[in-house]
Amino acid sequence: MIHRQEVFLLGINHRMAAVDIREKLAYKPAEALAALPLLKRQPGIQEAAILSTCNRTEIYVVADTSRDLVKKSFFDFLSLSGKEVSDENLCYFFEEEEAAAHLFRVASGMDSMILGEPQILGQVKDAYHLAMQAQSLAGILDRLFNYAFVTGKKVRSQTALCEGAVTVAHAAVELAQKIFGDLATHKTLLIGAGEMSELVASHLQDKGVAALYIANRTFEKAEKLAQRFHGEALPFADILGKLAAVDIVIGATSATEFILTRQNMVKPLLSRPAQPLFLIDISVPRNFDPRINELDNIFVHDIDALKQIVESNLAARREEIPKAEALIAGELQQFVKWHNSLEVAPTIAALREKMEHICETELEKCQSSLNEKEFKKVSTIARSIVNKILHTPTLRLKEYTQQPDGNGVFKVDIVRELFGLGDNSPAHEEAVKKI
Amino acid sequence: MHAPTLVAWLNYLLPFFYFICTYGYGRYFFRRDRTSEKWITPALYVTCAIHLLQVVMFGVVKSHFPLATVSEATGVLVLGTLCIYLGVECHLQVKTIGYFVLVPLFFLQLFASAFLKFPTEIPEILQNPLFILHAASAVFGCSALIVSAIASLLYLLLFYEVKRNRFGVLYNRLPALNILQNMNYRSALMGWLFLTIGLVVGIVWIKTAALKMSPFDLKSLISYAVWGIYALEIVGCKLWKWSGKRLAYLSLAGFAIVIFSLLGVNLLSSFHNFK
Repeated sequence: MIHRQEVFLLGINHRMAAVDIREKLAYKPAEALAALPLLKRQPGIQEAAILSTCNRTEIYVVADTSRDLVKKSFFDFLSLSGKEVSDENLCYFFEEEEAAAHLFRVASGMDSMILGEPQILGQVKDAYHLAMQAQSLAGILDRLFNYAFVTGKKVRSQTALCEGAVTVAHAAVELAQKIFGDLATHKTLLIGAGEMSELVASHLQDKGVAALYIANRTFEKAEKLAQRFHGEALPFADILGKLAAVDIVIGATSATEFILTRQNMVKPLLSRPAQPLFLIDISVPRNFDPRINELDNIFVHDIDALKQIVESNLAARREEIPKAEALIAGELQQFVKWHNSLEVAPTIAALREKMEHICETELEKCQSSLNEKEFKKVSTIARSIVNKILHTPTLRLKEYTQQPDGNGVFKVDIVRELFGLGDNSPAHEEAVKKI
Repeated sequence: MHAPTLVAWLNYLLPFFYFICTYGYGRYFFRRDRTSEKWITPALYVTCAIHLLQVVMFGVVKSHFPLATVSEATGVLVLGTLCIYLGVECHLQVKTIGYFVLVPLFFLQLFASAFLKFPTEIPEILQNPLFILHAASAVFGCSALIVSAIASLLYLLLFYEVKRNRFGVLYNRLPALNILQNMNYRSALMGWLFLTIGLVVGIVWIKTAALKMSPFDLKSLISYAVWGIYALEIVGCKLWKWSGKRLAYLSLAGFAIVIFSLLGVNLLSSFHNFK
């Protein structure tokens, strides 16, 4: 039985399996590069790509064999490339439209652990480039990935799925931006040099903050962090003295008592211009006395407020899912239409070849009885007749591929039988490649 | 089509254009609609062009600057506000406050279009170039102050939302406090400059026309008070680095007096009290 070329996917992700299982199936770029030719050598597999990130490993192939055989080939390949699957039920297996839709969702950030996270599109592109490098892509998978890139970009630009901060550190910086707008003209004091401070410092650096001062009880730690983020380390005792010169203060220490209180803020504030001062407290227990918020022009926010922002942004992203799904459905339809059109290409090519052959044969027969000029004229007329005869059947054949329930395939088979076109020849395969 | 008929048609079409723009900006603000984001600014430019055409044609057909009646002045006020808002939007690249500017503009234009009359007799005063400059400056000054007041109001709303840890639609959709403060200051400065021109030209006009104005002319006194408040805001911002909140309250106070002056005083008496 002849199978048409279809897209298959075997994958494991954060929804299906814990990290200890996922890491056993992860491919580093060099590993994937070496494994792709091996995958392509499996029975029936013609194209292959591996997408491996910290949250997922997905293997995409194009094969012209049965579903069961492809599934078997997937697991054989995993064993051959030294990957261990403890339970096959933890993996998902999709084919054709489902597989394409899944890739489109992945590229759009719809399937990510954090809805709409932006890195995944770059990771899908990396997987594509790796497969290109391994020469394991041909027409169908190449086109599928390109559709996925278009979908990912459309979802990002036409919906708000990727907007708003969804981590506490990012939310802190976003909140500062809501007050000051561009941070390039504002100075920040970071109290603490732990992991959270690092994350905040990294986001602040991304936003191009004017100056970054880092204070910590252990001065060496502050110096180390300041060096990394091109900031300036401060002795812990200088915090109050610096308040007049900064606009944003972020507290992320493990101190058990308030570092800034309502009382000790009064004096530094007198030497400040009447501009807003923004205090973000991401420590538990809190570093800043919440009563400071009662002072004019000072904003104090703690970790609960930041979590509230994160929740609100996630809810806003979830509201965008229907819009993103509609975009994905549109692109999927385009891809399916294109893929289906491949199926009829050999029939169209064979039909044209047959007609042209008849035309050439008949022209040869009458060539001797005509002079050169007459023969040229007759040839043009004959070819024009062939083109005109073929025009409508070609359009109809293309339309048949869009018909559901296999009805179109049945009609294409009738055309093949009616004109005695037989099975696909190498010439027809070449025609498919050109399309 | 005759010019007066065209003016009348444009006049009745204008509220419809303002409604379409308000609807688009509303969709963009509340639903983050990307399609609306693309067409709202061009639509606003088209509305502005049509409104300008209507005002110019009305002036040409009636041979006077369209400030003879309250509805004419309202129409010019709406056009001035729209021009200033478009300048702000173009400069700051922020579209999310458009809805708040367009809602009052739509209702003002509805009023202006509904009550627009074609007066047969034009007061002689409206032919005087100095008076035209005085009145036009005052109207454009008010236009800028409307934008300043809206920016101030939004500043205070966002300020208290953030201060009280409420992160709703205003937090998500409005621009940063600094941008709103900037918008308030620039529009207030523009409004103040127009008011200054209006006041100076007004004084010169009274002198040249040999008119005697009552020293207790309420309108003039209020105008001086408004001018003083905005002058204080500008000096406070530039010299004393006053905070955005204080500037916003000053803008709103100044604008409240403008509203009182436009509604209260005009209902009680004529524009000015001449001896």
